[in-house]
Amino acid sequence: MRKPGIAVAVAMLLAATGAVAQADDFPSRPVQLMVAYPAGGSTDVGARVVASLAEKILGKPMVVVNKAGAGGQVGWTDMARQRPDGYFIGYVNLPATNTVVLDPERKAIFGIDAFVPIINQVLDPGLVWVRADSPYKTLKDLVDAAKKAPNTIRTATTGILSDDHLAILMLEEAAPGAVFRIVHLEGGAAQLKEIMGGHVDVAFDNVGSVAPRVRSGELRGLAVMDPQRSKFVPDVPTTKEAGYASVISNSTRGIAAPKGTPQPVLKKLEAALRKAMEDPEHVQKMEAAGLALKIMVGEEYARYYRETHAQAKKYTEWAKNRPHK
Amino acid sequence: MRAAAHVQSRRRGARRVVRIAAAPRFAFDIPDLYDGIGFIAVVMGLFGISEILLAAEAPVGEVVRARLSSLLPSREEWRRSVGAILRGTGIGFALGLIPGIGAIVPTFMAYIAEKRLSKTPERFGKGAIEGVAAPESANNAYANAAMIPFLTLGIPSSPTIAVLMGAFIINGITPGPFLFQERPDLVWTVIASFFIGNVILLALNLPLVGLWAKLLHLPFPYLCAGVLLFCVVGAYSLQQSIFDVWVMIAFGIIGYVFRKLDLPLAPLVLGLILGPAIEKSMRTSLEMSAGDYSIFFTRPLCLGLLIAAAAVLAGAALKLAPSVLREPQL
Repeated sequence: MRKPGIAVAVAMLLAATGAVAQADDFPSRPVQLMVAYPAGGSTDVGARVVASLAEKILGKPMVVVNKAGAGGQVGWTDMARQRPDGYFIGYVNLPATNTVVLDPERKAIFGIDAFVPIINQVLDPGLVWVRADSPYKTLKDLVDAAKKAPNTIRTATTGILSDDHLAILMLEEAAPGAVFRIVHLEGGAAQLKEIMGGHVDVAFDNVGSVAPRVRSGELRGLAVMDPQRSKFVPDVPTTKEAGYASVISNSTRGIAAPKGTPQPVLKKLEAALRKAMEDPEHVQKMEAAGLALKIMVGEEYARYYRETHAQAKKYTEWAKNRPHK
Repeated sequence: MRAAAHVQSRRRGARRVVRIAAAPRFAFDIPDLYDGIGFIAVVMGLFGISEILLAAEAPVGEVVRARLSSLLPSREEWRRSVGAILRGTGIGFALGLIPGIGAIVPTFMAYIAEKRLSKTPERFGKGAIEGVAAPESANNAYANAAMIPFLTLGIPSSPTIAVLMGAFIINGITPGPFLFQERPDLVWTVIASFFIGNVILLALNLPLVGLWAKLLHLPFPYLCAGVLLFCVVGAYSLQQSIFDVWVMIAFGIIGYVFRKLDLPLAPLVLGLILGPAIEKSMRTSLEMSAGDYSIFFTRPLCLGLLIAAAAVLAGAALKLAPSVLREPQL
């Protein structure tokens, strides 16, 4: 007679775990925050700082999970497959996520609507940099050299169809006749290695990756691809000052959830994450890491999300059809 | 992308176009394979699961009854392993300075080199002390050498060190050439910790060695079951994906077949790890030269390494054909 009782108890347990979480008791267990890149990178640094603060607000641990590979595609594919109950959220890196979706060769099994944006954390402007003893002293020097000898200046990106790659194309668009020989490396560390070794001439990356070295004089920053100068590299002029105002490029890191996550859960996450990001400890740690905060929520972030996608589409198509690749 | 970046060279009239794409290759439309086959699962399968399969076939009553005579190596063992230790250290240190190699490569290379240089290679795999001394020395030398590019140039050589770099950055410390000047207290503390680490390693290992040896006294079926359990849990824990477990099982079967056919497994592992690295380097080099293959022959270091590789291949080929060179016996 005990057996049916156990069966009923087990059935109830299963039903309870399968139930969709209601906002009142969310979170009732740890929340996973996915980063689609290896540990130690700038997205990961930001994730760990915010998670350590957000978990105190939510009352349950927030665990950073790294699912790296295929330029982020592995992580985003995994997130798209997760149950939309709010216990698995992750970072979307724009425009990297956009290009993964837009490039048909990548065979992404998810579209850009597979994720619901919650809150943006970092906006890292693009930066063009060279070795300190490089002959190029300004962005104009570089562009002139690229026009004079098209397809000879070895220009490094941090990945195929990364924001850096698209930025190079934007520059070529703004300076007709300039053609760069694009070399795709994997990440900022590889760029550092190749530039120091003299195997590539110039690198396109983001401020957060190299700010301390530019400040110390080890590297020279040619231009920041933002309307204003970056406070982390105040001596580097903007592309606008250099005469190429249309070249605005950056990498944003924000948190999103799989489509279908209930609104009350999203609101709770947004409030907790926002409070964590506005915390002075978070601000100070991000500042020390050279990562510029730009908190965006709600309609503002959703609009930015759509606009970035449209812009990425244009340059992705151009990248595919470029004769020199 | 590991499975990506395929290089296609087409001649279009007088121009050669090198097309590099970030497309999945040999992924058979399985998203789990977009980044290539994870090598940890493969290695666990090739060496762990295959061992279990072999054991299941011919059950062993009890493994070696290890009797610990002494905790210190005998004079004979010292004599044999000094050379192995020095060689392993050299290999591990040299490879540790190159970012992106990973710990498995120097370990395997030291083992293979030692086996090659030994006068009695058949003893390897049956308790030859050199076969343990060389890879272990290489591993330790590698671990320390890998910190050098990190501390001096700020270039992380492996994912583990990248995590360390992340921790440094969060705390406002930038590894790089100026670290020794700005924060000598930190740098020398880290270096001192290496020495202390070695002492602690010794203190942990020596007393517990007897305990580990006792594990071999377990009845073999229980030992096997334990190994299988740890392998499966380990494979799943890599990325919380059951796909990795399937990969491990598949390569367990492949490893079993290889061992039955007496084919060596170490080169397979080296190929798996070095293959993507070679491909990536080749692709990047061709991007730098805009498709010109002569870059491999005009850079002195590259040319030198290619010549050395050709010499090794030629030497191996000559070794296989002794009858051609030997005087015919009357």
